[in-house]
Amino acid sequence: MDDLTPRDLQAVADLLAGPPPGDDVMARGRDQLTRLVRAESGDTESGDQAPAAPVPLRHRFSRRVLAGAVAAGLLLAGGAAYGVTAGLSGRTPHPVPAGLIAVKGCPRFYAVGGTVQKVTGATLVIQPSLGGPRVTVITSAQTSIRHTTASTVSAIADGTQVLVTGDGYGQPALAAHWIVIGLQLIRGSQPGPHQAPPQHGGGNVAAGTVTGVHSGGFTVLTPYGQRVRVTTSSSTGVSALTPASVGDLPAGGFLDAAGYLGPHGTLRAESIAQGSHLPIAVFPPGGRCPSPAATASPGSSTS
Amino acid sequence: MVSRGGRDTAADFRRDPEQFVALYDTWFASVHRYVAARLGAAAADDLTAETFLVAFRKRDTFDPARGEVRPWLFGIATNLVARHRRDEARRYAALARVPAGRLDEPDAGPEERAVARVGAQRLAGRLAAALAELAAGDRDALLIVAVGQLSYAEAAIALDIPAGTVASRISRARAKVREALGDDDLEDAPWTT
Repeated sequence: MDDLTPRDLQAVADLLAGPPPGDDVMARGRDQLTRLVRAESGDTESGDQAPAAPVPLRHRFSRRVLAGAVAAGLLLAGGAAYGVTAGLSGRTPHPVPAGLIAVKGCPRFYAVGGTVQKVTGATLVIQPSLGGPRVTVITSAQTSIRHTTASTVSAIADGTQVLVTGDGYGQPALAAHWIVIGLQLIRGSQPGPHQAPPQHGGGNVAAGTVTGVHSGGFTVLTPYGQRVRVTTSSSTGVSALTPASVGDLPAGGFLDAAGYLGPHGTLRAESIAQGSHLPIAVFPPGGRCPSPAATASPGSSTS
Repeated sequence: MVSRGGRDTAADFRRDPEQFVALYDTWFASVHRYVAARLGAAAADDLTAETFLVAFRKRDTFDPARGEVRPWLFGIATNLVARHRRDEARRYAALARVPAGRLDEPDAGPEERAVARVGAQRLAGRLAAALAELAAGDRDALLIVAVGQLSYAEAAIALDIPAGTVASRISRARAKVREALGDDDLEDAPWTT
């Protein structure tokens, strides 16, 4: 705790408080208040009625508090106060299922991490790991689909994009338990809880571009300019993301999908990354918010 | 026009209820931030709106001689939060379970903020655990000052306790938070000084 500053503590307050309320949240409350004010002012011409007495909050938002807590956990895990928040209904024209993750700076761009429940044609049904109802993910010819295949440490070179899971981040190096090659994390996003089996666990994650490869490891340059030393060993597992198709995505497997919100809470996928060692995160091609692709043309629909 | 202090508006909104909506526009975000820090953003959406509905219904109880509008609103918000102590405790417990320093990527934005957030990651879990351990009154006082950014005098109005009691509660809370964070170099931070 040698480098903490008051600014750090303010950042902690930011983390606790989360993102500022959206305009629609303010507008909703203002509308409710305005109706009450007008009712008490005797303004009957508008036809407004005073809002009903508030429903006991425990009944109204017990599930939402849970969602918020999960979201906050993800934020802490990811280390970003504003980058990613679990989707909350009412903030966009379409309802946002609770398990979706919003990405700051990418309007209407969401991600979901979870297990595949069903594959029908070009459509996947995902059970989000963050909870909430199942999410229908619609793929198209433009969707980047990748899955993990076995690889080795020798495949890692300067410039490789990696996500490293391990122990001992910054103390002084991250001892890699598992490395996934080919992930480019979106800036403004970050990994959440990873899905690695316990034997490949380790609580810390670093993602970015590899530099300075040597026999015992390498350095990860994160999108924010941080350098994280990584050590590898004979027990370090490695997998690489390679192109795949919807048919390569097994039911019961874990995947991350990212895309634009469609009607009825569906997600029109821009990218899908599948693999048991992936964390919940956003991995669009190029690490940037993509422009909305031409509207996906789902092969079929499931519910 | 609403002054940040709210004195002008205070006089107006009791005479003219329509003025109350201006109060809402002025203070919604800061009340929301305070409530969100305690119960999470989702709960804060509802509870902050409810704070203003309650405030409006109780507007005749506002006494401008006692202080400005902001501490009055924060007091109402604190009372509403108090009905959800269990939710608050659950939230802190959830935050505390996240391993410190688990991940490395801070939010997009100016680099200095990003660096600050790296520190925040290390602290947040321990801070949440410490907050969970505080007595409710001590936590109220600490958070209303540290997150709500009220002065001690304003906190006393908001919590309806003497200023001396605010000071002693914050002192107790800070000692526990400082112990939990294990840092001696936070002399200007509202959490620990």
